[in-house]
Amino acid sequence: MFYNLLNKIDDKIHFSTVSAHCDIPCKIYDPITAQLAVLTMIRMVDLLNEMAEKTKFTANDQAQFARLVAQKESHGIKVKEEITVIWGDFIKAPQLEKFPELHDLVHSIMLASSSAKQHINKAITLDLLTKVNRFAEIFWQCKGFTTYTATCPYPPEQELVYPVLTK
Amino acid sequence: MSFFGLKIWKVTGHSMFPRIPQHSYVLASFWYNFKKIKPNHTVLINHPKYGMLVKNVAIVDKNNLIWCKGENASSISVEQLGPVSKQQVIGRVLKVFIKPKSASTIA
Repeated sequence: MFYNLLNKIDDKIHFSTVSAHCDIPCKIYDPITAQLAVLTMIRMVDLLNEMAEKTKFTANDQAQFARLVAQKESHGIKVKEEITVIWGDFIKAPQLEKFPELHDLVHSIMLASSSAKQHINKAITLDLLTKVNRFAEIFWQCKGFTTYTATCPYPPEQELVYPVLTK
Repeated sequence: MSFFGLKIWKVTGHSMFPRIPQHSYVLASFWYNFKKIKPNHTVLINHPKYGMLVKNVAIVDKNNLIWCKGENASSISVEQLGPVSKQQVIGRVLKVFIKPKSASTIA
């Protein structure tokens, strides 16, 4: 009630403004970075599983193994970072009202990402992809775009949620 | 326009979300400046770089300089804002008027 009254007065006399100044409100958010990071994790798991079939590791194999594990680790962290930035900066009360599952979903992505880092297990990384895809779907709905699912045309050839950007 | 040291301000920006969302109104008092400023007070400061800001007091150091912070991750950090003197504190927020929930929209 008071808000509406103040709003009407503001239309007439224009109150002075005070800024709750943000860092850099760039408004550039896109879950595709997180989705690509999960794809990288899946690809690393595939390559690691291929290496596991070898009976003997050469020095090159050992170096390759270390690189694959390191990439899987770093992209697991990237998934967490990208999702938390959107969750912390873009998601606000209106989005939470419309999608009350968001907090639980984000938390489950954090857990799934940790689990995918801890294991060389494709099922776990695919579960992470499902969750991140759902997050992307919600994000684009919040932005007013519909989405579709398609298989990415490169390894690991998994299904991704993409926005239909022509309204 | 102020009455008896009280003034209504309109808030822009998101750094005080969720307690003070963008486009809220705050009622601030000028006379509170004579009182002691303590951590967690919500104050209006006239910042030399960023202009008029609404922020929370993080700490008041031993030199009586006031370090302020926002309420969420997108806010400028305490270090970036730097300290302000008591003379730069314009007032203290007494009441926040936020937009009713039914009027909110998806961004």
